[in-house]
Amino acid sequence: MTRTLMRHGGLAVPLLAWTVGMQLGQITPYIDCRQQVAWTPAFCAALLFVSIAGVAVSRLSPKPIGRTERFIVDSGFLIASTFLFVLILQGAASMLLDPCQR
Amino acid sequence: MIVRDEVEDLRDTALDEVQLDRRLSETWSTPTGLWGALSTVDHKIIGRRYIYTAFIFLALGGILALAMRLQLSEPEARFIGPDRYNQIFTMHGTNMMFLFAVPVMEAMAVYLVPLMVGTRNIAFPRLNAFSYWMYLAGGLLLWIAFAVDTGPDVGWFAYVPLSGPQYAAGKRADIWAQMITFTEVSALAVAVEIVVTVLKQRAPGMSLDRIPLFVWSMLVTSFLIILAMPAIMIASTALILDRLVGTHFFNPAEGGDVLLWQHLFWFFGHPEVYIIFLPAVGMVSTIVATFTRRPVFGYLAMVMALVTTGVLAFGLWVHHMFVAGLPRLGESFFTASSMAIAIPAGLQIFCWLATMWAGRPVFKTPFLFVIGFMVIFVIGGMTGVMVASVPFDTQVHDTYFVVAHFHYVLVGGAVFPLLGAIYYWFPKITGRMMSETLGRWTFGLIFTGFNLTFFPMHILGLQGMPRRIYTYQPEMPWSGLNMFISLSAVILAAGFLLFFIDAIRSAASGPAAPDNPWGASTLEWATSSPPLPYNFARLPVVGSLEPLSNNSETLSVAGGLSVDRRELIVTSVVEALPEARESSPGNSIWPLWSALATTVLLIWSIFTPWAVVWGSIPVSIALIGWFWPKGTPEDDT
Repeated sequence: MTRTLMRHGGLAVPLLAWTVGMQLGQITPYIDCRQQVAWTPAFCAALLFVSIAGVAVSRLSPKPIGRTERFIVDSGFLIASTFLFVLILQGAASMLLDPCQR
Repeated sequence: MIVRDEVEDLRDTALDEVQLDRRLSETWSTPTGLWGALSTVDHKIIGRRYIYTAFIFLALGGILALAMRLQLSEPEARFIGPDRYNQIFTMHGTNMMFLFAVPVMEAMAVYLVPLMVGTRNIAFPRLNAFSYWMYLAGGLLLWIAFAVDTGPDVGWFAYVPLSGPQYAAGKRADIWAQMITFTEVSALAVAVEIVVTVLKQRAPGMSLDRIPLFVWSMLVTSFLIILAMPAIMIASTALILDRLVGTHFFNPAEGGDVLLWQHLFWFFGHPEVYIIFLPAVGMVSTIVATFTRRPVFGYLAMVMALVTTGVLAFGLWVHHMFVAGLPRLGESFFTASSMAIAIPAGLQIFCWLATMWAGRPVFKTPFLFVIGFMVIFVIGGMTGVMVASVPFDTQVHDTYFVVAHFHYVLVGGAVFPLLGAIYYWFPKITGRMMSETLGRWTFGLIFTGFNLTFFPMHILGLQGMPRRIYTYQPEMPWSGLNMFISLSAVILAAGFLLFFIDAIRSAASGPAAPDNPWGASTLEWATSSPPLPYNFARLPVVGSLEPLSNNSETLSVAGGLSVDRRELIVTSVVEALPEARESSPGNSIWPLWSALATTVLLIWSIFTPWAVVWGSIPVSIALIGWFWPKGTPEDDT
C-alpha cells in the first residue's frame, strides 16, 4: 500500500503543486507589491522543490510489476515532467517581473 | 427482498448463432413507430440523432457566417443593420460552440465508444436519451428566439455589464443564459455516461494500456466537461438571477464583481477549446493508424499528451483576460502554461508524423482531411503561442488576428478531423460508402476555401480591424481584403455544400459497405455495418492494443450472458477483469417527459422565479416515473 502510494502519489505532486501555484499567482503579486517582499518567487521555489521530491520518491520506489501498472507509472512520469517544466517557467517569470506592474 | 421469478435464465452459451441473433434482436431492438422512436435508449440511434442535429446546426451557423461576410464584403454596406448583425455574430459563435462543436464530438462518442470498448450499450442509456432531448430543446430555444428577433446580441461570451440588467433590456441575454443551461446539462450527462462506459464497461482484457486512443481522448474530454461546465452553469445562473430577481453577483455598485464573470466564463471557456480539440486528436490517431497500416507511434506519449493537455487546459483561462488589468506577474503564470501546452500538442504532431514516416500511407479522403488538419492546426498553434505573449496579445486583442487564430485552431483542429471521421466511420454508421471522388473535391474546396478565407484575417487584424464591427469606413485599408475573404468564403461554403450532398446521397444510395472496409483494427469494425441493435452477438475479449490487427475471425469472445434481458459485462477499472453481469435499462418514454418538464421549467424561469417552484412539480413526477422500481434484479456478480 505504501509503495503504491509513493509510486502514484509522488507523480501527482507536480500537478497539485501547479494547481496551487496557479491560484497563488493570482493572489501573491498583490501582497508582493504592497509589502515589497518576494513571496511569489519563494512560493514557486517551494512548489518546484516539493514537485521534484515527489517525482524522485516515485522513481526511487520499487519498480512496478505488471504491464498495466508500468504503463500508468511511465505515463504519469511524463505528465509530471511536463508540469515540472511549467513550474520552472513560472518561477523564472516570477523573478523577472515587477509585482506592481499592471 | 427481491424474489426472483422462477423463469428460465437462457444464456448465450446455450444457443447457436441463428438462435442467438433472434433472441438478442427481440431483447435489444427498438420498436418501430413513433412511440419506439421517442422511447429508444439505443446509443446508436441517439448518437445518429445527435450527429444529424449537430450538422444541421453547423449548416445554420454557416449560413450566418455567410451573412456576416456579405455585410463585411464592402465598406458601409447596408445588407444587415447593426442590431441584427449583433444577433448574428452572437448566434454564430454560440451556435457553433454550444450547439455544434461540443455536441457533435460527444455524439461521435455516444455512437462509437460503446462499440470501440466492446459493449452493448452506453452506461445510463436513459440519461443518454434525456441528454439528447435537452440538447434539442436548447437549440430550438435559441433558434426560435432568433427567428422572432429575440436572438442574443451580447457575444458568445456575454460579458457583463453589457449582458447585465443595466445594458441588456428584454430577454435576449436571458435566452443565451438559459440555452447554456440546456446544453450544459446535456453535455454533463453524456460526459458522465462516457466516463462510466470507459471505466466500467470495457471488454474483458482491454486494460488501460489497450484502450483505443479515440476512447482515451473521449475519457479525458469527459473529465474536462465535468470539471469545466459547472463554472459556466453557475455563471449563467448568477446572470439570470442578477437580471430576474435583482441579485448583484456582477454589479460592482452593490459589492459584485464584473471580473468574476470573466473568470468563471473563461475557466470554462478555455477548457472548452480542448473539449472540442481532444476528441479530434483521438479521431486523427485512429485515422492515421488505419491509413498508414501500423499502430500509432508512441502510444504512451499520446496518452500522456492527452492527459497533460486536459490538465493544463485549466491553467490557461487568464490569457483571455490579458487586457483586463490584472498584475503582469499573475498573467505570466498563464503565459507559461499557455506556451507549455505546445509541448503535448507538438508531441502529438510528431507522433503522427513518425507514424506516417514508418507506415505505408494510403491517401483516401479521411486521411486527406487529417493532413489538412495538421497543416492548419500547426499554423493555428503557432499563432496561439504568439497570443499567449502578453505584449503581443495586447496589440492584437479584439482584432481579426484573434478571429483568424481561433478559426485556425477550431476549424483546423476540430472540423477537419471531424469531416475525416465522418468519411471514415460513415460506412459503419450507415452501412454505405461515401464517394471517394466527391470526398476529394470536398477536401480540396474546404482546404482551399478555408485558408483563403481565414489567413488574410491575420493581416486584417495586424492592420487594426476590430472584431464584431458591422461595417467600416471606406478610408480604412481593409476593403480589398474583406472582399477577397468574402469571395473565398463562397469556396468554403461550396465545399461544405458538396459534403452535405455527398453524405445525403450516399446514405440513400451509396454502395454497400463491408464490415471493415478500411482494414482497421479497433473493435467497432468487428461487428456488422451498420451494427445490429445488440452491437456484438458475443462480447469480445481483447488481447492486444489492436484486436483486429491479425484477423477478426480469431477474436476471442466472452460467454454466459443472459439473452432474455438486456445484459452486459462490468469490468474492473485498470485491468478490465470481468466483475459482474449487469442489466442495461430498456426503452422508456420517461426521459422524454423529464426533458419536456425540465424545458418548461427552464424557459418559464426566464420570466418568473416562481417557475422554479411550480415547474419542479412536473419534473418531480417525471423523475418518479423514470426511477420507479423495476422489480427485477439489477446485476449478478
